[in-house]
Amino acid sequence: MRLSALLSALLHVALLAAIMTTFARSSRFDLVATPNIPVELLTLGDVTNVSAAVERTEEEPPAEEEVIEEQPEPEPEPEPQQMAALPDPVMELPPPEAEFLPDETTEPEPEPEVVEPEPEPEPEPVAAPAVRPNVRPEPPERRQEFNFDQAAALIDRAPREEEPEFDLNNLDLGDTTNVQTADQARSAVGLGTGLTISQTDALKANIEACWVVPAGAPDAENLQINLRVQFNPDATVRQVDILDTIRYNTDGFFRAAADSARRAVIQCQNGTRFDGSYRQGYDLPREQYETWRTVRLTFDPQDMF
Amino acid sequence: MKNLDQFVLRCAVLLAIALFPTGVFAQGSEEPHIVIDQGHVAPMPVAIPSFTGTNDAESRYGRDIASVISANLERSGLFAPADQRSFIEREIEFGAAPQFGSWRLIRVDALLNGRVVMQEDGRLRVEFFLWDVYGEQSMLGLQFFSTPEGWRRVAHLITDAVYERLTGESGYFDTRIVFIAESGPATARVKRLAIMDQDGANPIMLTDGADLVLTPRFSPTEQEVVFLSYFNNTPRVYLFNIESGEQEVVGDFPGMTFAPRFSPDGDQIIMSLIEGRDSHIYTMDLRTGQRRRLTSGPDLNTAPCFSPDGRFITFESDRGGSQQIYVMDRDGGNPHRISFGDGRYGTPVWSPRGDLIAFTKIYNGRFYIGVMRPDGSGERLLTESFLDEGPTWSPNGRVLMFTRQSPGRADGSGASTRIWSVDLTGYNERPILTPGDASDPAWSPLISRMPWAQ
Repeated sequence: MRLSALLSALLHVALLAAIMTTFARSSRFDLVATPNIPVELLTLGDVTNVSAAVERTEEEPPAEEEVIEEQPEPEPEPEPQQMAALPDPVMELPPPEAEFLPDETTEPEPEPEVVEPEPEPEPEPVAAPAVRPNVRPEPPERRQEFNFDQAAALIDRAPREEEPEFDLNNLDLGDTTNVQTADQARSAVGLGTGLTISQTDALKANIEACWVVPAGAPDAENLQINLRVQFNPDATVRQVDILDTIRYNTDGFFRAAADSARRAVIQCQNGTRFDGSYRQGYDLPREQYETWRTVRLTFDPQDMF
Repeated sequence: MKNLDQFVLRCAVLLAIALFPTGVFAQGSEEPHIVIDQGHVAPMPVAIPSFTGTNDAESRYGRDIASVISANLERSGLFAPADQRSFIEREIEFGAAPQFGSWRLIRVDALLNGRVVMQEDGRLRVEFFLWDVYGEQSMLGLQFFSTPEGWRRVAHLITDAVYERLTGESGYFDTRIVFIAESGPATARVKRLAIMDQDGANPIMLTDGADLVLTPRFSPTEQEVVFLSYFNNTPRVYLFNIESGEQEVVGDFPGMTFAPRFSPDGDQIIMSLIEGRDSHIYTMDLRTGQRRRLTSGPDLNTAPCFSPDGRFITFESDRGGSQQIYVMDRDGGNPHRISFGDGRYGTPVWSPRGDLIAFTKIYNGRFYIGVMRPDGSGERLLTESFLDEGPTWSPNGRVLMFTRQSPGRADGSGASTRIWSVDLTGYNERPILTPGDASDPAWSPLISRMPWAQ
């Protein structure tokens, strides 16, 4: 027992010695410093927040519904079985959305991967108006299967015998004041839940025109003011709250700067643009009211000094 | 086995309940956050209608008080009082909210609405409300009582209160300027000590001009002025009490060139005395009379000034080879140079706010008034001319007054020496109203020094 222990110890020591001598003699590994090029993978959705174009307002469904209602009548076979078979050349070209509605009743995801054969407006991803313009009473039978190839085949530009109930060139879109039509349509980038860069820049430019910076205060460049602004749907100001009421009540310089920031927000809600046109309310997209209903603003003068 | 199943089921249910809220709110959209980082600097438009009164006398005071306030705020460069003729709402009930919409139409940010009442006891009661036109609320409301003759001071006190509420800075309008009033031809110049309100009103001559007077300074604690005069060709330091009009001699100081300055607590004076070919800085305790020398060496050290907390002294010295600005501890320790630009530097004065030292700079034959931080960094030149010198700070450390000489024409006519003021940002350079030529201004502390809590 003692012999084996001794032998074990000796061998261990020998091993350690071998290791130490070997590595003491080896040359150092010189690490070649490779320059690290920081690569930041940005998707466009990370820097902006474009929501898909709103396609139509609430007035649309009645017009389309008429069309849909009428369709089953001229067609003798509106059943889904017909979809599986070869398309009937005399079949009415259905309104584009009807074909591309997924079978599931879940809300369509506003992902960029959604394939659109033509630049057609996507169903709106955000629930801005209460009524989703794409909801329409679909006959349940039509949504049992959804076959892309056959859908593509359905887009048949062959001349039709019957006059289409609607003319693609002369669509009655109803009230178009808040509509971005197909020619302005875009696919969504990012979540589409907030304001895009150009929209925040527009609001920034509106407010900066009115902001008077308190210049001579001591340490003025570090006087940051945070406000929370609540907007009305017409982008006028409903309420401005100064976030830091303790400092507001104790620091005279902070109070003066905060008053100045609040005044800028209230003062610039109506104004004249550079091109001379008058604007009522801020330059915010009215149809996306939910995204900018409450905004946090930080007034930071340090770049000005 | 059944117990295990139950256990697992319970765990699953609990987990589901625990995770449910996070699941629901995980996709909540945040409110957008936007940073505004560009603005502009502009005077704040304000509206100051005449203070109302129930009779002619009150109305006259009301008009005069409003006009003094308006002029004060406009002169500060930070406010733009609107023309009274542009006002839409004419009869504003005192104490009631005004029609904010009509004031927004003429684009004013604040409205000062006041009234004057002559009470039965003969005192004047002046009261006002300051309204936030865009925020639609009252910002300040105050009341003053005064003898009728003191209406000007009331106007200055109101200006201080309004200025402080709107800028955060304490005001400087209830102050006086002591200066040297100069008259006569260059060969026979008469110099008299004079004092006036900071807006140029009420100028009073304090000496008769028979003797040369130089460099008046204000005491920080009393309404007293110390100045240098010559008696039998010897420099003599006088202390002049403004309230009583009496003056006393502090002492004869052979070798003094500048009048002494006070320490912030008013107990000591600091001065420079010429000794042979050198000049050194001394402090003297006014209670004990004890003197203490703070500098040494074969140099010219002069123009000392305390920091507002009394811990440091800034002064002018040529120990480095040319006239430069130095800072040392109040006991004379650790003297170090802080001016390193081109040219020569002199007359350093520490701002009452503590954050800046103002100075005179001479470079390439031109004179400049400038400021730098007490560590010497951030040097900024605010003015430039043929001859600008001797800055003095307003009590809030925001405005500087200095002497400006303009060269005359070749025949000697047209030369002038006036007092000018400039904001510490370099803007709003303007001349100060004086009865004739004037130099060597010194700005008093706030006469009342009352805090303006809302």
